[in-house]
Amino acid sequence: MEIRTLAFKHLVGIFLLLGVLFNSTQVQANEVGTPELIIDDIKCTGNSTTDCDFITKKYYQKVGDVLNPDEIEDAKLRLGTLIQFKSTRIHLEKGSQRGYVVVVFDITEASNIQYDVGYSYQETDQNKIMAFCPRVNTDIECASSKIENDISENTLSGKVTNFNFMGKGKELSVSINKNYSNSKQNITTDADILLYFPEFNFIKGAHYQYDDDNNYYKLDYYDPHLLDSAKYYFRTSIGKMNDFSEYRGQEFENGPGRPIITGSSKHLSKNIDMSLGKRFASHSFVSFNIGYNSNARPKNSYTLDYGWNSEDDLLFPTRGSAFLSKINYNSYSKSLGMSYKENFSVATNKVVSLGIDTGIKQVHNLSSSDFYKSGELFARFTNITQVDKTSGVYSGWHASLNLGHKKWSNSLASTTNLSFNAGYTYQTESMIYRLSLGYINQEDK
Amino acid sequence: MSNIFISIWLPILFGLVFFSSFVHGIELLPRIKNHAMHISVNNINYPKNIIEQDINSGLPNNISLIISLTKNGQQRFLTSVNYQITYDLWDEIYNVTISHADGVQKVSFESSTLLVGFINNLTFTSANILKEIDSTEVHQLKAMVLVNPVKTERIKKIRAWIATSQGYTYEPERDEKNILVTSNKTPIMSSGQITGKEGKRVLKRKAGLADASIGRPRFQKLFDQILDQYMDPDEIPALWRSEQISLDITQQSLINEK
Repeated sequence: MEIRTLAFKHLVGIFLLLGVLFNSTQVQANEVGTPELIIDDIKCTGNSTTDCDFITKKYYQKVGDVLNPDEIEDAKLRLGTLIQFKSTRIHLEKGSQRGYVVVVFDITEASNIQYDVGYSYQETDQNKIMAFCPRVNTDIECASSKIENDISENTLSGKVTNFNFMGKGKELSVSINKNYSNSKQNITTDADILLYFPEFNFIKGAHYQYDDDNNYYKLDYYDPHLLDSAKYYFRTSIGKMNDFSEYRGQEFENGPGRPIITGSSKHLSKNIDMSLGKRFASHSFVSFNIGYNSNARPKNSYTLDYGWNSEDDLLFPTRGSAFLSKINYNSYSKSLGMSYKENFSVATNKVVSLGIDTGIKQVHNLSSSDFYKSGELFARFTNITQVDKTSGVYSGWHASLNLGHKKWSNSLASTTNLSFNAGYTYQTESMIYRLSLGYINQEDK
Repeated sequence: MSNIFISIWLPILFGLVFFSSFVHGIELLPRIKNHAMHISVNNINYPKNIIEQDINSGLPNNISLIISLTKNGQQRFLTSVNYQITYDLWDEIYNVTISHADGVQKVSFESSTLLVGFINNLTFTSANILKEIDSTEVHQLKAMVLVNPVKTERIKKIRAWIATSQGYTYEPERDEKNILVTSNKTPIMSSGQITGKEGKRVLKRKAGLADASIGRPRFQKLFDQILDQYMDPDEIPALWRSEQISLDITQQSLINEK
């Protein structure tokens, strides 16, 4: 530790020394009359797909200015942060006359198409105890029922993103998501009750099976710098979902396999989301979002977000924190949610992330004292097993645990869920492969 | 046996000898002359792009030679010499401004060959360093060369620029399953569906601030390299840095050219 401190002190000394020398160089150079150079033009080379404006916007001088080498250095580092470029060299060429120069940005573009494929499997066990009160003729008869639901869900997804859309650093992505879920549901009651059709009156138990085939297609557009602004960003997406469900039910209490119901349904829906946001301070943002869904009730919803995100990477974060607060409003309900997550690097390439997520929701036609509240604690361990910064290859696995609780304020009914998820991610410069396995246990009382 | 030696071992030996000529690091040669220490730092293998492109860019390039003297880990002497090289586009000469604690000198070179010859063999002379060497003790003389060192202020400035203009501010979408930044849901950039009081909705599970569902191309960019060096307390950020060479010296071991 002492050696590190000593080395740090030495470095501070060297920096001070270098600073003095750089400054003295500049002073002395000016004293001996180093000619000032005037910017005659600014141009780009090597930008086969990138708009030159996108590059030169990172350089804060214009034609006619006295060339400031510090500004060039800053521009080089700014360009050196972007995923659109492998490298940037900046040089001067002779201008129209002596003392006038052309600033040339010579860039090497990176491949900006990324493919992202993934598979996930999730198993959910739901147990629910509830009062079941169907209307039988003119009377209402209640029975306590127990619902056991076993859901298996397979999801395949694919996405292609262009991170330099139109050569201006905009992002366009197309994604396809195929989800197949199978739900096996057992309902048992402590008394005979009516289920759906008079001819199957008064059964004590039923078994249902749902097969749900869901395809979702989405087009996303993200403009990180709306109208070339450093602060404003815009995002929109258009999605379409085809959902096909088959279901069948059979009585199991009073005889094997007497069918109750079979059928299928098909749902089509479209959704459009738009978001306008502004960055401010350090890693902070505020945004206003409008969402439309053709198959939802209500169709429109409005959200105001405030948050920050200082994580060093989205796929394999090793440090930083993220906070998000949301106020959502639609004609049915309003809600407020807050989430916080922090990453701790516990050893080299080993990260623990801890978080909390809370929310309340109020339905307009219920009394103000009746609201839905939820809370969740989260812990995740990530082991980054491969880091090759030069070639851009990263891989790692993670395991996470969530514990959540939800309930209506004026009701004794509540839901507790415990979920476990493990996954592996492999990333190359142009591909991301993901595998995820999850288990959720949900108890409704 | 001899065939095996010729076919296998000889190429390997040749390769090792050939390779070693490339990995040969910088040389540090101290000597005493006229009561001052003259230090030569030779064989600096600058990358090709610096020699062929950067020094011809017309923009100032800084080469810093850092010399230090330590004894038992304690620093006794530390200095730096800065060579600022600027190619004059019209006169087609290389102007070099040499700055050190004692003052500033200017020299010019008419060709890149002459310039490269000069910067490949840097020298430093100091009488003060000799005063720090005890008569019989072993000291460590160290040297390192940096090309275009990056000032801390500049790194902070670019980091601030990233924080305010380059954030990953994707739009989050909350769903009824209460998935926000803490989601451990499938890290698949997906949509899902739920059935609830509000009907069947398409919901984006990805979104969030930092749900691991969003990926971006990742490779070591220029600023990543600078930042890695900046985060390491033992390194000075620079666009290129030589290895640090260390030599054990005593007053007796130094060649005295009186």
